[in-house]
Amino acid sequence: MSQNLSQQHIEQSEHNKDFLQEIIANFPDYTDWIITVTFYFALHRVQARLLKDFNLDPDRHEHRNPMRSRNKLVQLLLPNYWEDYHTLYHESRKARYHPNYHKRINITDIRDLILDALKLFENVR
Amino acid sequence: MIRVKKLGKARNEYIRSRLMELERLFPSGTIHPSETEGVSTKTGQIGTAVFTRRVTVFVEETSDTGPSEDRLSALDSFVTDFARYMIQQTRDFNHRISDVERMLEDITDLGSAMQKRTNREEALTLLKERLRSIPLPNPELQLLKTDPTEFRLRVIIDDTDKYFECLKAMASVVGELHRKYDFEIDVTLFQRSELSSIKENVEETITV
Repeated sequence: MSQNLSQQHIEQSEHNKDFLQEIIANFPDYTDWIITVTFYFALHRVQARLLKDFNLDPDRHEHRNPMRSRNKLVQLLLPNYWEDYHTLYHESRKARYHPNYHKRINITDIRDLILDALKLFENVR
Repeated sequence: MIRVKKLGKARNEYIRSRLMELERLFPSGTIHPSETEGVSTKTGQIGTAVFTRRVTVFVEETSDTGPSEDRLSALDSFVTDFARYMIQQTRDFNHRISDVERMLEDITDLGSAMQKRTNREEALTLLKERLRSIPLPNPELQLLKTDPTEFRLRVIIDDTDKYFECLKAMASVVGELHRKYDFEIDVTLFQRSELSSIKENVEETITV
């Protein structure tokens, strides 16, 4: 069951990556959505790995119950991905909840971040 | 004239059958023959006399009836095994008591550890210490109004073109907070030019 769900997360991640490539190509000024979609590309990868390797299915980014806190579980169980994952999480939150992110941050500011994330999280499955 | 019912043969038969019953119950029973033979009666009076005869059964302890060597040996083994069993049960019980004592100590330690993992003051001290080791331009901490289960802060820095480097450095600090504490952790880095986009819900401002 968890293997099937894990595969579904990989598929969702691929779907997000396809959309990411579209918006980078066609809407590069929408850095708020570019960073957000990149984050959710990474999120579904780590979710798949947490399910597959640890049978864990956290439902929140942060929660006082460690088993439900995806951020904590990435830090504890997938520490090699933590720094990039945290950066994406941090920036996507700012992009979603604080106005005018796209006016402060342009595509060149986050280009390396996006490319590195795509390369790194592609290997998480 | 007394008619005496002379039980004689019938009575003896009856006695013998009861003795056989007794022998069945006490297979090694030895009965004195003299108690079982002969019945005497009186004559000269008319009436009905009922004689009762008390039969005393002696069961002598002989080599056939006493506890046999096998039985004594079995009894001895039983007592020894039972003693061993009780000793083992006592040892097991003492081990279980020790286990329970250790578990109680562990629970106490666990309780202390859990309290430590939700110690906000300690978490804040750690955060300040770690932020000092990162080259952040003019950092300031804003503690936000939160629930007891949350640890929410803003780290405010001067505008810098090294923003993403600062953010990556902060990731290791936040990671350490995750490892050591059980809060909902929200430590957000802002450049001063972004402050206008932030809602004011600051509980306290602290210099780093």
